Amino acid sequence: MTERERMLRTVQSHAFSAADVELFLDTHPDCAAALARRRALRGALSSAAAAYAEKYGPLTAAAADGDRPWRWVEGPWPWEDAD
Amino acid sequence: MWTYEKMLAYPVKIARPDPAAARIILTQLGGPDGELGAATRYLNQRYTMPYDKVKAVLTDVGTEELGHAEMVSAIVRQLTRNLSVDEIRRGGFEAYFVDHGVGVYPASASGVPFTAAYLQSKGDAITDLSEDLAAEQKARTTYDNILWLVDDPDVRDAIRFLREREIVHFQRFGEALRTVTDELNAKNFYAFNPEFTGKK
Repeated sequence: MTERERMLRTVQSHAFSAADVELFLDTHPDCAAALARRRALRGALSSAAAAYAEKYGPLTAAAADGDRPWRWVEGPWPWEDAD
Repeated sequence: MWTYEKMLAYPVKIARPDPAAARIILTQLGGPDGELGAATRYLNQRYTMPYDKVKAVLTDVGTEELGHAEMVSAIVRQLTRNLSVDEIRRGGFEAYFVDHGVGVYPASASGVPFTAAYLQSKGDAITDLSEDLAAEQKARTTYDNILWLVDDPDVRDAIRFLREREIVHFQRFGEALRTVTDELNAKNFYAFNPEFTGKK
């Protein structure tokens, strides 16, 4: 596994866990344990996404810096397995 | 509205092309129990849903299904990269190839193009959530069937992830249906449609 893949997998893992807990919260909005877990996961996700973006480019167009060139267009795109 | 994230919901990394597997798995994009139908079903049902928790479930599961449609498409794409004409013939991919090349087209495994006839938005909270529970089980069965037919561990890994999500969604929709029945007025014991009362 390349370094890019490893860092992206960390982001994907936190993003998945956060979304899963958030879906649980939709039907259990008062669950304190789930809310605490969700807060921790969102924190870990922001750090991992920022670390990835620093090296390999932004994960959302909004997170791209405005510098030239516009790096959002750079591959690999998610369905391409370039590594 | 939506924002695109430049990553898959779960990694898809398939080393060996296999057009026969692609043809089967494509059904989970555009087939009767596929992810495109799932996303469309939930995202349309939510507009008349009277209960906030259930609006949240329909929105969030529907959004997740859009990500799953992308994952299934990535699997199909990676299984059909760099095919030779011989591989197309041997893999039984000729009929698909003549219509779509190696483009990713939403259709069922038996070749029926995606249609909204696969889903309902009935305007009745109980009816719609009952359909959603069935839809999750039908998608889970389809992933089970794919796992009977596909041996490649790279493909099975991603399919297992998608199968597991159907089970989680079934659980959440069950809780959503419980929310609706709990919210019904005591006078509505027989659970008549809470989305349309016919009163002015």
